Amino acid sequence: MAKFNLFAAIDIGSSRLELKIFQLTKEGGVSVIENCESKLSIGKESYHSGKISYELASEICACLENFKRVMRDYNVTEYTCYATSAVREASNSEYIRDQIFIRTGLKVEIASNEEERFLYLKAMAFNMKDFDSIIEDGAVIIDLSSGSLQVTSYEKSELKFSQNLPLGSLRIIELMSEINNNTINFTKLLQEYTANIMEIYRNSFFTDPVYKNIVLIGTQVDNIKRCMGAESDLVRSEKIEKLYNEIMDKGVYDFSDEYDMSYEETKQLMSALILYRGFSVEKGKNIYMPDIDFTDGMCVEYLEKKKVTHTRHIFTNDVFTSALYYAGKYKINKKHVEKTVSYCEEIFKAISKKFGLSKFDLVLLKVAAIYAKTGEYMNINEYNVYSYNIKRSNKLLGLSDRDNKIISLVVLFQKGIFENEEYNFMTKSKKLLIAKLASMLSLALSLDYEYKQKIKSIKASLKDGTMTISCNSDKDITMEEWQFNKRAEFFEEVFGIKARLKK
Amino acid sequence: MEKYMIPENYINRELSWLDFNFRILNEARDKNHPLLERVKFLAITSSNLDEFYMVRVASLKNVISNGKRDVSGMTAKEQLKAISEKTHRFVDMQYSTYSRSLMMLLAKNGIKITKYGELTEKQRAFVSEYFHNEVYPVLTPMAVDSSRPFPLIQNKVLNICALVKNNKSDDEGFVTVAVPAICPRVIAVPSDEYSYEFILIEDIIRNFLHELFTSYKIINSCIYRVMRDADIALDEDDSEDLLEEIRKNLKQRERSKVIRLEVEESISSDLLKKLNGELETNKNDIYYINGPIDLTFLNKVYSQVKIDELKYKPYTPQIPKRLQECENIFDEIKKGDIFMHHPYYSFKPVTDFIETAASDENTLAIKMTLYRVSGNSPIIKSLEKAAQNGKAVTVLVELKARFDEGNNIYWAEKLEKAGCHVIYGLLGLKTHSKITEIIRREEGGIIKYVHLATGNYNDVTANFYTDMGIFTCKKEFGDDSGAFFNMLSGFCEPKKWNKLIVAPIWLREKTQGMIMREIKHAENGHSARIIAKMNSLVDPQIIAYLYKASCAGVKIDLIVRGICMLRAGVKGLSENISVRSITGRYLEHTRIYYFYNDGEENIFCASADWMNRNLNKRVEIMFPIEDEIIKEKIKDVLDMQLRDTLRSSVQIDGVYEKVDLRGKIKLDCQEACMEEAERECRAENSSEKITTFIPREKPEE
Repeated sequence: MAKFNLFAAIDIGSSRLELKIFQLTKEGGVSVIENCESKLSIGKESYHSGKISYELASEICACLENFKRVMRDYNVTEYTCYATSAVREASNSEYIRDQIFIRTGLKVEIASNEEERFLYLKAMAFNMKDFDSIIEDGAVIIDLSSGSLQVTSYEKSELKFSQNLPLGSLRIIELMSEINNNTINFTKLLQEYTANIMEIYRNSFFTDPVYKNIVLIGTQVDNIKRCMGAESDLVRSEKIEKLYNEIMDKGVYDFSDEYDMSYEETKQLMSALILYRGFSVEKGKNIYMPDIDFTDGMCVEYLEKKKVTHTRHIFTNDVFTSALYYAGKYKINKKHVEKTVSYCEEIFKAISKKFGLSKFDLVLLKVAAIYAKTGEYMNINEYNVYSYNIKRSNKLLGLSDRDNKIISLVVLFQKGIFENEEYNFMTKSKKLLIAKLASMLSLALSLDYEYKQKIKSIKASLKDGTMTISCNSDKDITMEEWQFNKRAEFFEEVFGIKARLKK
Repeated sequence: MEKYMIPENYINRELSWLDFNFRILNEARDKNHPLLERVKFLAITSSNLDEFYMVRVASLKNVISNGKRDVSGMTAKEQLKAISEKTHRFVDMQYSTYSRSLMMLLAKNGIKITKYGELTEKQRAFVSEYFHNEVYPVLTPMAVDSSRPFPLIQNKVLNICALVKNNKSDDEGFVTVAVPAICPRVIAVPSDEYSYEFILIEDIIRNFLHELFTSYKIINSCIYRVMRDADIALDEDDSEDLLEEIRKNLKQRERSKVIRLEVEESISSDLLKKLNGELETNKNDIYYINGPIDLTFLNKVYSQVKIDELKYKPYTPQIPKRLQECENIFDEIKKGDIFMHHPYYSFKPVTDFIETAASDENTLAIKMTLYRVSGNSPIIKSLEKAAQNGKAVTVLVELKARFDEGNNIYWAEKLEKAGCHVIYGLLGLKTHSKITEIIRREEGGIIKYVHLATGNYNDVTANFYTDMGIFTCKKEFGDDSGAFFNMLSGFCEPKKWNKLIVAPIWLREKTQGMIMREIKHAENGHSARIIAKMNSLVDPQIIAYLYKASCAGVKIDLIVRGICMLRAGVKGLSENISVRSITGRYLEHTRIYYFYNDGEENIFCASADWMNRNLNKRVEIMFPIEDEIIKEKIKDVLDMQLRDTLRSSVQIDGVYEKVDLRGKIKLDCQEACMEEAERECRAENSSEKITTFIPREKPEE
């Protein structure tokens, strides 16, 4: 029997729908056997009007029906279909998903911005030979979509920050469509609009640029490469500058005639170049422009799910490093956080198997531990509420909206009080997971109640309905014991097992 | 390029086409061909002319009032006048060939087309019985008077009209009867004198006309035929269902205006007045025929006469050596591209390719384009079978294929019923490309097998049209083929092409680019050469590029079977361009484009001619030939065609002349191809290359 299987990835983007069918061997080999793309301006409508019309939904379905036919040609049954910002931001996105399912049988998942960008990163790590060395040397990854711009920075292989700006190549054009009617100089308008935002952004994040490499991915990269006649994925920043000057000199109409592009596309290219250039003006930088897209990321995600392969770079660590980066802005006690995270891990290890908790649940718990005390920066009494708000507004790369909600609620319920409207509407299983993680976090926090790291290490074990935590400390831990015992009730309530602290 | 695009540099397209038909007529007059083959050539000239009138003349008549000049500087009115003059000359020559040459030679060989008056008593009895039993029941005689309007005279159908007088009242009237299409045109009558004696159906009916109009006396009668505008004006943008729209248009075409009327030379002036009073044909478009109207009946004579010496020696299309020995065509393709050259090679491997896939358990999907298919197409059957076997079958059936619109509607519906996904072509474009893709799931992964060709998937015409094709499973071709079908099935835009060059978007640019490249090579003092073989060369822009190339020193050899608007061998314009037209046993249909490219030698085959319609209004594919062995084979074919002395007519400044044989080896390139195919497919070692040919006859002094 064949030693490979097929996987289809569908991306419902802002200005196009794409299908890629991958052939995956058991050894982890990946090749693309079909790739088709349909241009459809979903973003143009949804960014402008806030929803997707019936006619547009029908067009989306027609494209997807066509994709399904191609999938049938190859007998592909396994697929992922993600919709991104254009559908995500439409107020009727749930109806659209439903319509798509009824008409095509395809289940569409809405990817959060962070999930989308995270998959791009994974695709890069999987497909770019030099990925590890590039991030080791320091790199800024500029990921531009039609709807927004994500800037991600790596230093010494660690994710430093990842920030999203609502400056997508299509969104800008749409935002300015009204003013544009009254002005003849579209180019100037674009430059003015973006310059201010970019300046603030550059000043706050790039005060001391240590990165040597810039990676450009996302929309218009293929057009940029085509127009500059790039034969490899690596160019110097001067080339971007040259193309930028050319398009600015020629203007939309002359440029589109010369490069055989539509005016709409040229406008998007122009806005993309303005944005990309904002990060690559320094001469001599290495600009990488790999041929990857969102569907490649879906493929890597699928491979990881199937445990066929994984990237050398461990992306889970990125979640923690960026969480620490952002939490650090709220003056958290790093030693306390480190201890709490390690206590969480020990407790989790002891009970996860029996209570059906997954490895990913531990990631959620650890991130919750990092954010648990950020709220103290604002208010010492109701810090959990402030921590919750901080986490809610602070989205992390690699985590979905669902994950973000769970972490925020775990942070909120660390005191054992379950009061939140959103929580009340959650499914039973999700509620249970939040309660379990919150009770573990609560216990772990009690073990460093005074922020003095009096307990050097702990060991947790589960026997006869009791979880015993043996701690190694040569200090007086009365306060910690008191807090622990107080919170053990909450733990018992959730898990139905007793928690005991043993010195 | 504008300086080349002046009217004097272009031959009028329609007149060039008429020249082509003259060349076919010359084949009918060529004593070197077996007699019945000459008869067949004459029949071809007749059907060609019909098509020319229905399409080209009709469209000129539609624009007669706009006064615009074509690229050769002629208005539609001027063109129609010139066409009419040339066609009248042509028809005279056609019928003089028929009656003065071929009929006599046929009679000498025991074959006779008899007139009713010449029949013996015995034969008359036979004909009478035949008429009363077979013909009479299906006739619909129609009288025209105040209560019975002039009936619809169908396009291309023979009719007999007559002036009649009422036996009782002496009133004169007009009657007409259509020769039923279901009756054979040519009827063999028993003969003591000839091996084959035939009478034409219209002749029989005319002689029994009195039995159809019993209350009348026949004063005089005449056989006639009308030709109507066959163009269909589709409003694709507003038609929701293209299939229905075409069906409706076909119906309307039956009543389109008459653009040509053929009558017997002997027609009385009264009868003509009455007839044309209704049909309103321009007097230049009335043709007085001295012989049977519509000579296509000669095809029937050809097929009924079984005298081998009067026909070409039968040729059996060969199966390429590699395919003779292989167990599985897919495994063989994996070893390397396979070249097909029809009709020298059989078309069977192509039909087998699809047939095998239809029942092959590893095949997941079959995709193909169909433009013209045969009446009982094995390909359609295989596609139906494949769909029934659960394969995903996608077929593009081009509903707008002229004269095959009706057939194609039938095939499209048949395939749909079988469960195939049928695409009816693209809005505003005709899909003329010839491509098949078979997707197989094999041990090592998915493999796409692609067949690309210059000719239609038609197993019948593949026996007499020369075409080329390749089977390949190279990934780049497979990826392109996938992108091509995704583009056809809608919504998907190709991101890039690896190998295929597709019209209408990319082909013109690429072609012009390659001509320009040769110009640059020539300007740099390097050898530069273009050989292009096609059916018609009509695109003014490409012609201008070729003139420019000629002026730059690029050597250009054009092998153009039909229309060629380029003037060859004109000093200061096209001295470096040669044009030859090859006509013969097989209809030259391959499109090959060769560019020397400073020694790299790029060869392409294509479904497209260098015609405006192919480059701008059709979906066409040009594909590169990359396999070195196949490249050599195609170069050999081109070389043979350029060395041909027997089948070629060479054009100099718009005038075609047969090759002057003095001092030259007589070579018939089509025969040479047959011999080579036989030799190659017999050869023990398939890679053995034959480069020398035995001349058919001794050179003339």
